[in-house]
Amino acid sequence: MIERGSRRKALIYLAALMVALWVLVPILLIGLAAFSPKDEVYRWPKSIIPSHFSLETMEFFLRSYGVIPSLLNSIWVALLTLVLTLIIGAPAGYAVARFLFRGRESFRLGILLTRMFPTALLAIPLTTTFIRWGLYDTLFGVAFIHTAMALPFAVIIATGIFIGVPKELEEAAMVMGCSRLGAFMRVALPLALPGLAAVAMFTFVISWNEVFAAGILTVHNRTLPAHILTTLQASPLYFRFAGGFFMVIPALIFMFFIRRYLLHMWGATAER
Amino acid sequence: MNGQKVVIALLVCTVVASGSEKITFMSTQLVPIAEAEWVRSELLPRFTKETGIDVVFVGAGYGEFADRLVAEYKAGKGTIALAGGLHGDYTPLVRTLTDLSKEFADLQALGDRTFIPAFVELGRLNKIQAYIPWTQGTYLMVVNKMALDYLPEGVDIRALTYDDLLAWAKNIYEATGDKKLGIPAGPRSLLHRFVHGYLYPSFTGYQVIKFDSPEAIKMWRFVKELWQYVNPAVATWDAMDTPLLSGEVWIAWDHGARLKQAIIERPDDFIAIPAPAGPRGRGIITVLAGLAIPKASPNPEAATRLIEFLTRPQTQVIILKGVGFFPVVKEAIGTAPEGPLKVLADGVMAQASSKDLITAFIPSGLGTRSGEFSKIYRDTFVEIVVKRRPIREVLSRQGRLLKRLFQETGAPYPPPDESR
Repeated sequence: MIERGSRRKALIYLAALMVALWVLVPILLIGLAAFSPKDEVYRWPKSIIPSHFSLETMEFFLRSYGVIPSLLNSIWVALLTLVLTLIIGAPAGYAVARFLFRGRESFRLGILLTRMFPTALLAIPLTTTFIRWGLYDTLFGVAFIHTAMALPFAVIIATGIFIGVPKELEEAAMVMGCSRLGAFMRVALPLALPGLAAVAMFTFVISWNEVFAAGILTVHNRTLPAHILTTLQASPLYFRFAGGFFMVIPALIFMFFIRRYLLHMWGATAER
Repeated sequence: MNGQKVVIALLVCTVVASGSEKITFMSTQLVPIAEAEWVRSELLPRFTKETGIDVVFVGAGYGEFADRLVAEYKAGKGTIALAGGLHGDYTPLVRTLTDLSKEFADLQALGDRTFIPAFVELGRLNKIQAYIPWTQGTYLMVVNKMALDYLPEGVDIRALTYDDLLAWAKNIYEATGDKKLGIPAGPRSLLHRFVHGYLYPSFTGYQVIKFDSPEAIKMWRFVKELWQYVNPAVATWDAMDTPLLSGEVWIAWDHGARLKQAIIERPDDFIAIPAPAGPRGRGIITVLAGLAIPKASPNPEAATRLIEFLTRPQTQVIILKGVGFFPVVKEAIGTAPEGPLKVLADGVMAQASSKDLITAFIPSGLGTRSGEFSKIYRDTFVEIVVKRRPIREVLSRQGRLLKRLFQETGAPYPPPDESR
């Protein structure tokens, strides 16, 4: 019995290790290449560890036009998207989870419908409309589009989370004198927080990685992917590694901070 | 909250900092990071110093470039004052562009620059002067000096034929066991240009007219033979500079801009040579980039001044020396850059002065369907060389598609076909 248990445990660890390597090895390789001297990037067969670390490529990349401002733009857009998505997505998820209203099913389907239209198809009408509305080349404009992209997922995940929060707790709160809104704010929302952290993470990543809409809707106020993607595709190999590595880092940092909320949620599920 | 304020302040600063005139120049050319930096720090400041007009240079991929021009045109309000793109970038966008006939006449009247007439003609689309020629480029070969040891006896490297190329690649393979010939065949590569602008004119004398002919059948048999010595990894390469630098390829054909980096990194290891000649001559493509003013341009006057600056012979020489893009005005042609770019320029000059040259142009007049032209040649290559389908059958099927494309669009056959 014990043996089977430990073997199972070993298998789980092995699987976890594989998944971790699957994600980490490419990041490691990109990182190493980003700090390799220029000529070593081209060497064939490639050596994994560079002979010495070089900041030359990274420095040129960071100093080149628009990289730092577009990084700030990206962070700003991602945070705006995050706030907008949570403000709209959390109550929407709560409504779908708690209330039986006419057209609930079509509403749920309708949320997904927005994902059916590829952005490439909408590009020109979208840009034209944004120009007319004065949203073109603004960070708010990009954040609005990203919110529209992230909302379907946000609502679906939020629905799942609020279903998991027992209705009885809210009822108890109301018996004790809370209003409907008060019960939501004081009971349901705090309990759903870890799940909403996952929503936040998801939204952040969607916004951070999105390049198409950000590319076409901005000229001067570009987000990082919009700014560097075309440039890097046409640039020498070592700049691609530097740019790639630089793109990954902020998202990793964000994950690192929000991670504990996630663990909290998973921990809670396991106990149940 | 503080962070947000900082960001807003930064944004406001960048907008307000220059109270003077400011225009945006969007281009599908000079996009790579080092070139874009050069444009921003070396080229455009000269213009700003002279005119007081600030220029924001924005690099864009073709899709983004096209979508944006169309969207700004539809909205009737734009941010892009001046556009820089390839001939092929503009063909589907003519309705969004201003007719520059008058501006062109004004440039001519200055008397200091003579545009190559064929280029000016190419810029006339749908009866308007859609763009003004800016720079030209071409495709050629770059060779690792190590490959020279295996060059077949008596072969003049500046007058290579396709048979010589085959023998050369075969020699290398037999001596080293490696396939060191590289012709880019990745998803974003320019393989189709090799087929319609290099192989076809060299073997049949035409790009389109003899698509499905006995000469073409012979040509495809040759390509299949040649491909035995092409590095199989080419299917993953879009540009040949990287494999040249890594030594996986010793002899490479590609667009000058996609070979340049190899020479810049290690100028002593490589030479640039003309593309090979076939039985009919040395087929090569000249690619043209031009400057256009969108109908929605917020400042056409400033854009016109920038065009005047960029097509000035002195500026054309500066561009050649800085990034290796070749001039389109006669006064600037013939000057050679120094340093690593000289290696590339020597190859281009040698190619341009070959006696057996057949210059091919990318077709104009296909409008939105110009992508189909490329696809027909690419598909033909894949079917014959990769899938090994019967040559005759593939050619007659693809040939019908090609014929229909020109019939339906009413486009003229591209040179050299129309000039013969």
